[in-house]
Formats: sequence, C-alpha cells, structure tokens
Amino acid sequence: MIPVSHVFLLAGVIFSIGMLGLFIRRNLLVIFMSIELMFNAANIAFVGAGNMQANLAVVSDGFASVPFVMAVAAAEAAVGLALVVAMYRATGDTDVELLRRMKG
Amino acid sequence: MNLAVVFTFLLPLCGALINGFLGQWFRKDSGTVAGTIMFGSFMCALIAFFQNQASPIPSFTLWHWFPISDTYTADMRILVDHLSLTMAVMVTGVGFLIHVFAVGYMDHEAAPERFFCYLNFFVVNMLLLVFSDNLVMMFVFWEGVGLMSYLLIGFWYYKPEAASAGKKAFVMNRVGDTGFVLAIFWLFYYFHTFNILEIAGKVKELPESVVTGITLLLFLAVTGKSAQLPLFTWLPDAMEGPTPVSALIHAATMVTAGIYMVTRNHALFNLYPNDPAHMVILTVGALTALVAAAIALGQNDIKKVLAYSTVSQLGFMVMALGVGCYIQAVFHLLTHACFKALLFLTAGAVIYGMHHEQDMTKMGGLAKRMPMTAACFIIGCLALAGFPLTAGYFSKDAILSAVLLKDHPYAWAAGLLAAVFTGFYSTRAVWLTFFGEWRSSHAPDHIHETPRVMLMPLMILAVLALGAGFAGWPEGSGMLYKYLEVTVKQPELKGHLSMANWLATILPGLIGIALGLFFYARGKSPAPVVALFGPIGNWFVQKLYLDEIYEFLIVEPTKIFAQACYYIGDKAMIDGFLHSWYNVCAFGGSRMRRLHSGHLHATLASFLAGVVALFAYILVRGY
Repeated sequence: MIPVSHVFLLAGVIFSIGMLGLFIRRNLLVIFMSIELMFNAANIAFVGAGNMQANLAVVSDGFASVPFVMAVAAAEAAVGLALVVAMYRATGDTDVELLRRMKG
Repeated sequence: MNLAVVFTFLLPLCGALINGFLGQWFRKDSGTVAGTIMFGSFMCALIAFFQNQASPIPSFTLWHWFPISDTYTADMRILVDHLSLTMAVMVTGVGFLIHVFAVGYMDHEAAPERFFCYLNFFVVNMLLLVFSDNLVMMFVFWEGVGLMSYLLIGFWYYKPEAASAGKKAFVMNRVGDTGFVLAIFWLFYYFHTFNILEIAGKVKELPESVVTGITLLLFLAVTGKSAQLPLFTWLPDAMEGPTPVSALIHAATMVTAGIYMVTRNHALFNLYPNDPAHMVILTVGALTALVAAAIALGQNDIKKVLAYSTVSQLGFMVMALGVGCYIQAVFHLLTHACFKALLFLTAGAVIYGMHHEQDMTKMGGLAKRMPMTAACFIIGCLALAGFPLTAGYFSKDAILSAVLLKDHPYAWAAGLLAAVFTGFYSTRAVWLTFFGEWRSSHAPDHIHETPRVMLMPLMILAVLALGAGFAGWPEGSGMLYKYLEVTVKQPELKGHLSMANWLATILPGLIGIALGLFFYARGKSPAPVVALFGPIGNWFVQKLYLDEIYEFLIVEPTKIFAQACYYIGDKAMIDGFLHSWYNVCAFGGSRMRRLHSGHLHATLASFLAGVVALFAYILVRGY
C-alpha cells in the first residue's frame, strides 16, 4: 500500500516540472506539453485523494473527477494543437516571443 | 347630421386626398379637380345656408374625441348657426373663385398637384375652424390653417426668402397662440367645459378681472393670426407665396380667423364693455390701421402694398371688435374678403402678365394692354378706398360711425387718417401700374390681356366688390344685420351721426383718392414717396424700421442668449464633463496599456504571483 503522502508528493513534483517548463521554455509545443503534464499531476492527486476516501469506506469523488479532467485535457489538446499548427503556418516558427506582434 | 354641411368640408378633404395621393398621375388636371370640388363645396354651403334660413339646422357630433373629465368629453362637433354658415359661404365662395384663378396662374408649375392639395386642405381646416363647437377643436384647426399657411408661403421652398418667410409666419403665430392656449385653460378652470355656447351661458359667473385677463389672452392670439401690432410683420413677408395663396389665406380667410374667433366668443367680450381689454383692443386696432396704411404708402412692390392694406383693414375690423360691434366687424370681413381677393387676384394677373415682375416702378400704362384687368383692379381699389356705394364704403363707414357713436373720438380720428392713406395708396397703386408711361427696360410687346380662366373669377369678384355692401345697408338694420343678429348679440348703437360727422366719415377716402390723383396723375414720371413726405416718407418706405427694431430687441438678444447657452451649457458644462472624464480614462488607459506587453512569460509570472498572493491570503486569514 503506497502512502497517500507519496502520491501527493509525486503529483507535486510533476506539477512543478510542468510549471517550470511553462515558465522557461519558449517553444509553444513544449509549453503545451508542460500544460498536459500539469493536468496529469492534478489527475494523480485526484487518484490519491480518491484512494484515501476509499480507505475510509465512503463514496469516492476523487475517482469520478479523473475522467472529467481527461475529457477536458483531450478537448484542450485538440484546440491547442490546432493553434500551434496555425501559428506555425502563419509565422514559420513556434517561438512564443513572436506572438508579441498583434497581427497575423 | 346635415348632409349639406358635412359635404361642405368633406368635399375639399376628398380633393386634398385625391390630389395628394393620386395627383402625380394627372398633374395638368389637378387644378380642375380641386376647382370642381370647391364648386361642389360652395354649392353645399349655399344649400346649408338657405336650409338654415328656412328652419335652423341643429348642431351635430361627428365623433367623440377624447374625455377630459367625468362630465365633459371634447367632441368633434359641428356648430351650425347663422354666423358659421355665413363664414362658410364666404370661405367656399371666395375659395372656389381663387381655385379657378389658380388653375390659370399655376399652369407653368411643374407639380401643381402639391399646390392644390395644400389649398384644398387649407379650405378644410378653415371650414372646420369656422364650424368648431368647442375651443379645443377650434384651436386644432386654428393651428391647421397656420400649418397650411406655412406650407403655402414656402411653396417655392427652394427660394430662401420664401422658406424663411414661412418660418417667420409660423413662429410669430406661435407667440399669439400661447395666449389662445392659456385662455382655453383658464376658461376650463372655471367652467370645466370647452363648449363655446356652454361657456357663453355661464360666463356671467366670472369676475371682471378674470374676464379682462382671458379676453386679453384671446386677443393676443388675434394679434398673431390677424396680423395686428405688434405681431403683424409676418404678413407682408408672407407675400413670398404664390399670389392665389396671398388672396385666399393672407387676405380673405385665414387672417380673418381672429375676427371670427372674437365674434364667436362675443358673450365673453360683451360682458364688461368698458374694461381695459376693450381699450387695448380698440387702441391696437386703430394703431394698426393707421401704421399699416402709412407703411403701404411707401411700398413699391404691388403685393406688399396690398399686404399692408390687408393689415390696415384688419385693424379696422379689430377697432369694431374693440367697441363691441361684432356684426360690423364681420360685415367688413365679408366685403374685405371680396374686394381684397379681387385686388390680389388682379395683382396676380398683372404679375403673371409681367412674367413675375412685382415692382410697380417698372410697370405703367398697362391699362392699354390689359383693359379688363385694369378695370377689375380699379373697382377693387375703389372698394378698398371706400368710394361711396362700393362694398368697402358701407362696411368701413359702419365701423367708423360705430366707433364714433361709442364715443371714441381719437380712435375715430386715427381711422379717418388711415382712410385718407388708404385712398392715397390705392390711387398710387392704380396709377403706377395701369397709367402713365411704360417704365421697364424690357419692351412691353409680350404683355396681353389676362387669360379667360383667370378673368372670369376677377369679374365675379368685381361685381361682389361693387355690390356686396348692400347686404349691410341700411346700417344697423340691413339684411346681414338681421341675419347675424340671431347668433351675435351685441348692444344696440344709440343715437345718430350728425351730418357733419357723417360727411367726415365718408370724405377721407375721397380726399385720399383726390390727393393720389393730384400727386401721381399729373406728371409723366411718378414722384417717389420720399419726395412727397420728406424724411417721414423714408420711414414709410423702411416700414417704420419695425423689422429692424424686432431684430434688435428680440432676435439679437435671443441669439446672444443662445450663444451663452452654447458656450456655458454645451461647451463648458456638458462637453467639459465629458472631456474631463475622457481624459481620466485616456490617462488610466495609457498607464494600464504597459501591462499588456505581449510577453507570454510576463503574463504567466503575474498570473503565478496572483495565485501565490491568493493562497497566501487564504493561509494567513484561515479558511
């Protein structure tokens, strides 16, 4: 049985990696992947919390939240990738610094 | 409901609608349609007139208009009596003749259907004003004739003078109409009714000061509509409209609405015949008659002369109202409608023949080229000047002797002087136009006798101008007096004029004519008025500078006030508030704009800082 604190710790580490990537990378695709990483860190935290609730023998909201987060992540991926492709087509690059100009 | 009465005003309404909506399909014939319809209307009015003589026609309600209180509903109600029928016959009769004349006069017009639509609609409004049973209805059609007057003065709206003359007429009438509205409210406050006859029945309950106030307010409306001092300056400007309009609206009918309104409310005016209001009415009438006649001496525009003479004759009618002689006023109103319509139409025929030349100093000797027109004009001028046995003689004489019998010698003297002036300027107009040498630089070859369609109404009106006076003869007991006495109750005139006074009443017109002949018929080139009267003549020519005085006293201060409102209210307060608020927003925006650098990482960092701050806050405060 893995202790809950380990699970939360793992979630925290992955979230931090994701946020770090978000802050230091300039490639839009990598930033996008960092966001996905943060989604999954949150999902891991949900699973840990759900597991904790299951041990207490009550109905688990944590497990139920996971499919919702996955669905949102999937939808976000569709839109986000489309934006990345659109940006690449428009500028020939995926560097976010290029997005300072507010024209196409 | 009496069909003859209904059709009297329903036919012109149909004519206005037909010409207004369908007229563009039969442009050339729109005048014929309007004229035919007016003939029908005139016949209906005559039938109603004679029916009423056989057995009185009862008043009837067209429809309930709007309820005002639990006890009173303002109705569209037609008041049929001797007075309203007399007026209706005059309006439709003169209106018909002028419509016929206008068919000829407007034949070069591109869109005559608009003209005839307005003209018919004016007749509808005038008839309903005359037939009004209550003051609110009367006010509505009072405004209606004002609106049609505005539209017809500005008929040639592309001429700036015509457009501004229309505006002037409308605005100056508003001043008077304020008085009418206030008087209506004041009467309603006491009687809770607008019905003229009901008010007349109860009017004895009013204290004298209230009656004086109400009659003065009503008289203010008269000074506007009937062009009295100080509001008469719109009428001469109204001559910018087509000449048939001047004849119908600004001489024969609309401007006499004020006289009619006072006569209609004579119960109110009869109550205190010696109160200050009557002094005001008499004084204003006498002064208007004199001043306008003096101004007419100095005018060279043939229509302007007639316009000022209209103002002057209206002054005579108002004098009669001021001494409580309403039938005499209506008598002069009727004869004046005949001879002034005749004068305007002949002037129109001259202007038509001269290809829109109105300056009398550029005419002369026209009697040789248009003898019938000249004869008609001379007849009109004789009636206007009060030449014995013409229409104007009987009615003007009736008014002047009534004023004297009521013991107002100063007003009487002013009237006599005005009558001298009238004779003078009539003769001057005749001589400058029809006699002497041709004075224009153009050759007179193209000038011919007036076309027959325009000549026929002139001849009928000329007969009326000669004969209509006998309706009111002998004075005080003639046909017209007997007829109107049923409706209009006025105090009997006591006493008789001495022979000297009687002579003094008929001589001024003759003196004026003689003077006019003396000064104008001798020389080949007419002397200008300034030469005859010296510096005073210049005052007459310049219309006593009344327009300039009003410009200085009213228009300029109003403009300054408007400028002050513009700079203080608009510029400083409204714009000032808006602009300072705009400056605050613009300054804030220029600072806030720097946050939006477009750096994704800067945005993220501030987002993170916000999240951290939020968490810190929650941690510190606790949940």
